[in-house]
Amino acid sequence: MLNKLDYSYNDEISIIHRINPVIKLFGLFIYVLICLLKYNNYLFIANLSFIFLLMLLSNVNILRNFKLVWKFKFIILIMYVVMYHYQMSIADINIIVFKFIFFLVYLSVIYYTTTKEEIGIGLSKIVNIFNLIGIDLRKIASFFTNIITSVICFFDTLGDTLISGEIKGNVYTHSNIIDKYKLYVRYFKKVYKSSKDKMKKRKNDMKYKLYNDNIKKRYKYGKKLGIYDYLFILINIGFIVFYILKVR
Amino acid sequence: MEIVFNKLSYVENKMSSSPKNYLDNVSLEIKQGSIIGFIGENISIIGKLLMVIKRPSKGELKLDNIVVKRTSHINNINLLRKKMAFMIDDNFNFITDNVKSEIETVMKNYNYHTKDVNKHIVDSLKIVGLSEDYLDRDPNELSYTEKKKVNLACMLSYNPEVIILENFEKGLIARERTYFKNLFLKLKNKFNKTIILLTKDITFMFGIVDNLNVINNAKIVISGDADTFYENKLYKYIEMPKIVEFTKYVQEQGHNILEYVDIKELIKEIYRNVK
Repeated sequence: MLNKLDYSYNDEISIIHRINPVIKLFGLFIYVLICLLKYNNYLFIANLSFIFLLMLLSNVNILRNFKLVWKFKFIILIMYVVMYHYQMSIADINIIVFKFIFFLVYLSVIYYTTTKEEIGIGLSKIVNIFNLIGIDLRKIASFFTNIITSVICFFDTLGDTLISGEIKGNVYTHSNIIDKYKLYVRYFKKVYKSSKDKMKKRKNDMKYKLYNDNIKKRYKYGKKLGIYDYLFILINIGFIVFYILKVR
Repeated sequence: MEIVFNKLSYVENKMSSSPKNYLDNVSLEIKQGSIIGFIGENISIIGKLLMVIKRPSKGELKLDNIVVKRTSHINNINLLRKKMAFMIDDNFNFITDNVKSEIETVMKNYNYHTKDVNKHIVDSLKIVGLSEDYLDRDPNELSYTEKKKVNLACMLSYNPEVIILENFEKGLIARERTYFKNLFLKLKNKFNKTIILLTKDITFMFGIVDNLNVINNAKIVISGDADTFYENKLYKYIEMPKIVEFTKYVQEQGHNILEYVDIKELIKEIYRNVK
């Protein structure tokens, strides 16, 4: 069963928590970009070290960052099998899998150190760059925050239903992957309906509290960029510069 | 079923900057055929530990002959869980579309067989004060109290030895509280069931519990029988109920009055002493 701090914002005091969400998402974007570009040993190791550093500085239990990876264990296994089937070399397979694993870890670090509202605002600011038809930024932020909240609500309800089912004899924690999969399929419809109802209630609550998109949203640690934000940007730009000069 | 907590501790988020200590070095023994009350903070964890949904961080939990430790392996967990039933407050997620199939599913999951299943389901509902009309209703559409009763019916349907109830009194009207208190006494006396009440309302435990445990800062600070209700040390940790407050006030005024936990008995006593 889930711990309350798993897959949710961990309210700690750390450098990573203070970094602006847009910059954190920019860092993730750079990582994905480097993963897709031509492979280089030094760049790859530097990237992984950077992610490790982020993990250490975030004050979140390191093992918690790998929990998302553990959830993807079967997908990783399938990746191995498929790539092996296409006669790729073991080294190449390992590199691709490691890139994927550290993408998940990076995602976890961002998720554990940023509130869902901040991720919403961060994503909306990035999307706003490509906003050609002039949709209000606050509406985009609201849209992203709602999506993130719906996903969290779904998994919360699933967790509650699994505990409830466990008590009623539908064993989850002590069962194998096939039984777990069967339980997911069985619960999906109910959990979806239940989480949808919860979101409706949330919408009503927000309505009665006179909440609307025009309310100004603020970052938890303020809008101003600090030294660590600039350092974060510099390191990421450094990766790109290294790629252009040495690898390309 | 005999339950033994042996130096049991449970900590959540141990590695974080704010670890949450639920139980700290708790040793306790619960005998079959008794009603045990727990009052205090974060007591829901006791139910989760007993149902082996959560594992102890330190120490061990003995459930009959099975020892539950942090890493111990349990073969066929449902055989153990069959002996227990746990109702979590505010978590009534029903998987099926009607009350009948919900109870039927629980019986099936726990491999409980009876000659007349339909009669057994109706009886389970009747015990908790619901009529046959509820059989075809969607449990997710019921009210909070009705959901609670359907959940209790599910629990009673497979005849567990230990019944664990978290904040059961919440949302019940006075008549229903009395009904369920009598039901628990009946289950204990007639069917030798163990009932564990995890609650925040001490008045619900009045007159029914054999043993009361107060948990404060993850430790059992007070453990005693029904007479504990009139001990002053208990009210360092919880609010004093009106009946106790009244009796103590009257005693302080120099009147000789017995310590009652039932309001009706107290009123009778007052009538007897009025001159």
